[in-house]
Amino acid sequence: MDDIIKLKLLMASHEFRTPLTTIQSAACLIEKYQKTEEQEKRERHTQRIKAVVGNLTNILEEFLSVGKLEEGRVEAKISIFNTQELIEKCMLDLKSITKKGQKFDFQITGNNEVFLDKSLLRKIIINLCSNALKFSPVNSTVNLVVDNQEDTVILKVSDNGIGISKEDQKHLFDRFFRGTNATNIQGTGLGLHIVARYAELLKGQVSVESELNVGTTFTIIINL
Amino acid sequence: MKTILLIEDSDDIRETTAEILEPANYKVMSAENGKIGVEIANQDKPDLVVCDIMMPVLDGYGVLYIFSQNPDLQNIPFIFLTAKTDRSDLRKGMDMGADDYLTKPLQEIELLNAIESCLKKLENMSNSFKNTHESIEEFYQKANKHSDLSSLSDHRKINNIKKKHIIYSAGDEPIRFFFLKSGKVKTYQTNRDGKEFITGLFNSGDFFGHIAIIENTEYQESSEALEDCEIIGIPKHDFLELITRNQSVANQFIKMLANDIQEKEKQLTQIAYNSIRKRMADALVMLSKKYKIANQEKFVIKISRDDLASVVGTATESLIRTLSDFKADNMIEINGSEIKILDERKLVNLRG
Repeated sequence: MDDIIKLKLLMASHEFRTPLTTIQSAACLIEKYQKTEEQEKRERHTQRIKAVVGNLTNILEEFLSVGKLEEGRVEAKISIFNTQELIEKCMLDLKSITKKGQKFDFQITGNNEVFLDKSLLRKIIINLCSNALKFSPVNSTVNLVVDNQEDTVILKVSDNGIGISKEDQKHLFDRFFRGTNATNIQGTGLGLHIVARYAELLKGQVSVESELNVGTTFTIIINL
Repeated sequence: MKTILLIEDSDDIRETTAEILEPANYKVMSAENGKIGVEIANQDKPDLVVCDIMMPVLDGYGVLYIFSQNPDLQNIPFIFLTAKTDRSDLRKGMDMGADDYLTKPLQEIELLNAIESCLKKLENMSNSFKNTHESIEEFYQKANKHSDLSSLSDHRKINNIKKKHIIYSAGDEPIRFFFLKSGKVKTYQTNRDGKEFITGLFNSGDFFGHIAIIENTEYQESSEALEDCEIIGIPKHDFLELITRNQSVANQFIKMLANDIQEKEKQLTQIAYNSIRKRMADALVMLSKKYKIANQEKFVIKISRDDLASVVGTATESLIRTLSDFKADNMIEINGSEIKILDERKLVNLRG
């Protein structure tokens, strides 16, 4: 019950209000631009609405993923796939949230093909990388390293962002937990919880190394 | 055109909000976090601030705190526009001195109304609290033009008062208050040692003696003609009736009283802390503002040393010494009881 209340409170809170504000103002502006020559302005705002709806959908997905996990409805579906291709696709998806001058540097060692749940691994990568981008400044680089060995897959995501205090690291994977230095940055507090649960489903372990204002590295070791 | 500083970290909201405000005839300056917002405000003082709370680097509470500590910025109306909807957040924002607290998402009209009413409130405030001599002067003139107020003095008997004649004395029961048609009048208090301090100077067109009537006490001060005057006495009853009947006249008197109080407080601070030279300079500038006749090139006033000393709040001996200093500095010219201001700018600078 407690969690449901929390969830509802969050749903109603900041994460939804900010995109809703954008939609509201953009709609209000589209209404005002009635002349033919203002088509360009109208388009700009419809684009904005579409992008924001995309964000809202992602947030909603996060909540739904947690719901599914709670109900035990998520299972790993193993298949063979190419990690290079997967990561390139992830990079494309992350493009929209990349800040000015931010870069990815990714490196794959070992086998190119792995035997895992593609969708879960993809969500893990997206989650960790989007966090790395969100918590690091403009013109910074995020490093992604995948090492595919015969019996293990090691995934490392590191950034030069705001970091996580030792105290916060203890609760990092709890549902709805937000770091004390992250309260002014948008987020639901669900992403890392989902990452940890997915890693668990893949028989993997998540660990974190971080120093405040220096950077953070997440490592996932999956035993095949 | 009024300038609005918009501090908001979400690019989408910042851009759309600016686009909504601009057609409403506001100039918009944008900042993507609190720190940049404060820098812009320091450089280019805005007329109003719309600020988000949750932002990186420096949040909205931090911005408001910095504003409240800076005398140049503390009077700028400040509106929070935030997704934080908890009552406790709202209370925190308002307690810190925000003028309004709007929660996202909001209708365009809510934002525009909030901005407009904040700006209007500020305008009203500054109208009633301007504490300069000019604005008091202007106000008295306005009050005088006001039909009901000037009708008070219409068709009433004009009394001619000779110079040095006492109009009323402290302790008298007020039965009338006065409109000065022409001439100069002082009000003053005397202490037990017989030292006099001037509490008010009046010129033609001024009302005086109304405070005791409003307070419903005896006169706390005495009033004396500085030169030959024409005054009109207005019965207490007529005045009180007008004030109770007519809200706008009452308001005008309230403002007059508020301005009086502020003037007195200023004077008190000066007496407490300023040197006699500063006070002397201030008194001369004040007299010139009060009594200077239009088109008069150099201001000349005939005032006794005793009267001048009790305006400045000092002993006559010290006053005479300071006057001679001023004369030696070529700021004034003295001719019997006549003082001519030669260099008003220097006096203005001197009073600080």
